[in-house]
Amino acid sequence: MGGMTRRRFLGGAALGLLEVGLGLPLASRRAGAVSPSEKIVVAHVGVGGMGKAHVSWFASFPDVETAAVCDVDRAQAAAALARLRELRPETRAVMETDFRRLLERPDIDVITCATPDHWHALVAMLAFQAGKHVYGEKPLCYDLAEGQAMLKACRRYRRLFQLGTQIHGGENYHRVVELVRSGVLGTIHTVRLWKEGGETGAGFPLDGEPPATLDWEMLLGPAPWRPYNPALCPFSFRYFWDYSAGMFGDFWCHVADLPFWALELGAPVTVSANGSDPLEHMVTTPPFMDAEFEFPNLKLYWSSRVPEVQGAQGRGLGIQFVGRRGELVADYEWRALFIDGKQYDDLPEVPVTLPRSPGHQRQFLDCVKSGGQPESNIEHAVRMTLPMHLASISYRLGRKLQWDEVGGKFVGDEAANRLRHRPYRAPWSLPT
Amino acid sequence: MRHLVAVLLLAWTAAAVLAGESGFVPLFNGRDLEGWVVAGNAEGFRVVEGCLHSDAGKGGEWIHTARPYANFVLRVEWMLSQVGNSGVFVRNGPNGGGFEVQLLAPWTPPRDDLHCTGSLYGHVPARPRPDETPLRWRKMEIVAAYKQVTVRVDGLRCVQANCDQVPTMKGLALAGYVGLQDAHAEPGEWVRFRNIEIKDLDQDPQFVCSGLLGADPVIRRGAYEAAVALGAPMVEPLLELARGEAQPRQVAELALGRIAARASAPGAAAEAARVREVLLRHLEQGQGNGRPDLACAARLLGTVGQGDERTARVLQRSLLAGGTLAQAALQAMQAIPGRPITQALLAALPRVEPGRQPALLLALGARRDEAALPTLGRLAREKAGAVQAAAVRALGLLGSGRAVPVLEQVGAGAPDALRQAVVEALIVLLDSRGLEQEARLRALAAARSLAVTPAQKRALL
Repeated sequence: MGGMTRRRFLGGAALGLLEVGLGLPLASRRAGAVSPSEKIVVAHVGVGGMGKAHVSWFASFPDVETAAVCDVDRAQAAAALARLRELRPETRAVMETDFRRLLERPDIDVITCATPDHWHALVAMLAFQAGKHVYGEKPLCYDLAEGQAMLKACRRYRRLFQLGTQIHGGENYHRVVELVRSGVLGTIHTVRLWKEGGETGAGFPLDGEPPATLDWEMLLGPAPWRPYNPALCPFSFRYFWDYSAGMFGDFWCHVADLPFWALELGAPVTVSANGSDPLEHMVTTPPFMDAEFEFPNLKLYWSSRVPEVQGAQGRGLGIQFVGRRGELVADYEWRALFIDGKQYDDLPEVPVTLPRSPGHQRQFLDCVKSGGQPESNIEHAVRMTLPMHLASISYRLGRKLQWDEVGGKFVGDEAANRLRHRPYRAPWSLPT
Repeated sequence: MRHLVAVLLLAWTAAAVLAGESGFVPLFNGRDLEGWVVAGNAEGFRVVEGCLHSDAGKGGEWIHTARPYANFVLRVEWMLSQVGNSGVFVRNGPNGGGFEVQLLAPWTPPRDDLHCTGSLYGHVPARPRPDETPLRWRKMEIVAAYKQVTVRVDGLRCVQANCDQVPTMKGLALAGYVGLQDAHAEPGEWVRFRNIEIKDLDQDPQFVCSGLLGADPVIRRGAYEAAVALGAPMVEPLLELARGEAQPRQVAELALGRIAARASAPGAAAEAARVREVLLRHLEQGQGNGRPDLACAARLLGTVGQGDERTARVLQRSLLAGGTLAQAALQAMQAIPGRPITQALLAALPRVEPGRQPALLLALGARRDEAALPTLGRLAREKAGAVQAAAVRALGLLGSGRAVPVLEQVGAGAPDALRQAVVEALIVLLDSRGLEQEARLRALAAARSLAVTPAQKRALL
């Protein structure tokens, strides 16, 4: 209760009762519960790695008050608190090691999450359940069932979610969407996505005792128990199927974001992925992976290698849209159109139609105040993350799969359907 | 590690000796060139008196198997004309990449040891040199086992080489076609082959294991692919490797995952049954909760297992063993549908210590089998603490309208914390696929009347 003001306590507690009492119609009950003049109280879960950026990003907004920094590694939490105190000397933030303590605090409006992937869904869903909005790191979640459960919980508890694909908020992605949607390329029939790399050099270090500051049990959380190993953390958890989906799962959402946004893609009908199992290191995700998706009117490819297409050379990450009249190649900050043998970096006749983002975190906070939907909201995030999980399953089974979006299942493949969810380790359970 | 490899190779050799002639497949049917591909002029090779025959000067260059071989024992009988020159190609491709075991009739002037019969032509001399008297049927056996190459002529071992120790052989392909060279000296010379047979060592699980355990990454990769292609016969040897050091365990577990994945494909029912049989037997015969191979076998059942009585019994036993084995078994039991699995979980409940009961209850809920309802309901009503909380959550996960009255009853008059859990369960139930409308309305009404927190109240408006 240390960081809680009387105002917020009364506000938080009274709001729900008032709403129930008056039975306000839906439209007037916007998701945001924070008025424009008020401070938004934020707490950060997972403050190493990307979480460090969360702490400083949110501390940079004058209308944000940071209530807590939380990490299963006490040393990380303490370091984050020390950095926060440098940025905001007046802060009253506290340090926690169990995020559930944050959820018990009614003064906290927003949870940001930068844990390893296998925790993303649980932290977000428990936060929704506790009435918090969530800014969550990518990838959205660990498996298919989690994405569906997050969507349900986010809607049910009427909370806001922004996926931490911060590139989405940049000028370049907005402009690419306008260019693609303008029709100058003609109907888009092919999309290529790529991100180089995925090789790791973990070797086979011995299991051992976790550092004294680390709550290893909590770090594993819903994932299967195993002894501590230095190759698993802090960052390299990403290269183990038990916690993540490798370089592919890490970068998919950054590059898939663009076609899913620009073309409003639904779900693929088929998926086929292949790569190479890593035999020389204890990591389990593939050092490279290629995937192919069939959408009703479009083919989409993922590769760990730069494709041999115009404009792609020398770009370790990129997106290519191929239309009947031309092509567009982009990365985070750059784009080029290829039409009738000429290259353009923009076409002035294509009007600016999309509202620009004030920045991915700011845009989310503005929504918390206004009740509007964040740009990388839960629907968008679930839609664009689904193919990543489909491809991971196809890779692991080594075969092409057919997906039935309406039924939420693979067609005629029992084993693939079993992989929609990796059962949680108790005491955790996925509410779906 | 090196010791283990040596032991395995020894075991493999011993097993191969015991197996005698087994595993050899004829490459030549004595009638036609079925199974062979002629490079160059197709008339260069023909069948004469039940033998594969090549006349010098007809062209044809070489004839090779339809598919590549990596590791094998090749046996062939040949006869050369008074003067003659031919050879057997090993791991060769259209543009070379492999090597030739030389076949020669005495040459004038005499050829050196590096180019005589039995030599790896230009790479390794034949020592001792075999007899080259022509117009006699002779026998050759070539063993190509990863980087070890052995050649025997009429029972005499004349080459035993390690490719890595022969400078000119470094980097040669480790897989390719088996081929026979034409007679390629003067017109009138010829060569004949008969009784050509091969034993593909990559079909031998113990041999493949020796490759997985070796130090060479290229060999390991090849052995990995061979292991996955072999499927069910590899499962038991791989489970043994999964008991070992970190790297063999890693490779074995990945290969087992691939084998189970392939067996789980639609249309692979027979292979799935074979893989299941090995896994079940391994778990039935194994003891101890700290063995990674047992946990691995239980995990694999999650992919290929069926919800039958035997699987239920085996997984229940693993569950009761505790440790990581129990964890893997529980995960598999949650994934595999079928009433026997539900019943095995229910029967295991009173037999595990109270601290582990919540895990079983949550798995029962997630399996969505209504047969668990009476037990979950009873525990939700009668127990307290973690077991009660888990039973309540499990009732929500069950996705059955029949859970609503039970949850209503548990929530009525309950303290806030329990009531909050009941409402959470009702909300999960409300949002679950396929719940009937009547049950949904009743769940909504119950949740509204029991809601505790502002977030719950907002969620139920």
